[in-house]
Amino acid sequence: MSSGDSVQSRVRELRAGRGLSQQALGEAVGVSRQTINAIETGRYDPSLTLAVHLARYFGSTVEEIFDVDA
Amino acid sequence: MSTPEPRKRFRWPISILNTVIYAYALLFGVALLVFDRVAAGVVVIIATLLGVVFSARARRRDSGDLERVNALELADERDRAAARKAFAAIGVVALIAAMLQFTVAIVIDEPVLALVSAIMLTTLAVTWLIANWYYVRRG
Repeated sequence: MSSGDSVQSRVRELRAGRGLSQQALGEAVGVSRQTINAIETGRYDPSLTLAVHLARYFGSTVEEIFDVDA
Repeated sequence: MSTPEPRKRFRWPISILNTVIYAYALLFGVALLVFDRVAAGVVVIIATLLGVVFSARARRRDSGDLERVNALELADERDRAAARKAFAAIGVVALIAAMLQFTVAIVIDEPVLALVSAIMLTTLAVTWLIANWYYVRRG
């Protein structure tokens, strides 16, 4: 998902809504706690694969979780 | 009756890449000892063992991202992306350093150094071209 545009995500909101820690969400989608933190704080744009894994985990779509400011 | 706990699967404590690197370093250290370069051999072996400990520590569940990337114990795509960018930076610095070394070797008229620098510069340049070809073709 890296294109130079700023990506905003709803990962923190969705995670908090389910009462999950960053560690737990990271383990669920196969990444580290720091990666979840970096996505939530906008320091890292996940790959398409990870974005799809996150969307599936939350029972949502990539577009509903990630928004790109073009 | 309690349910028996599932047996933990054995996990090699460091990555395959680190295993290769440290095995090479250990062999090098032993070779130094065999060829009577005791001090250098001991230093290499101690450094290797410290490296193994550092890498094994970086693999634990609560390790930091910088710790993992420094130890080449990459856990996920972000670690791999960071390591790739860092290696790309090393490549740029290596190219510039090799060019400078080659220039200095020519200026001070040192044929052996000039030859070594030329080989290093050519290797780096060819590697760059091959890497460009590979990653452009791979999409």
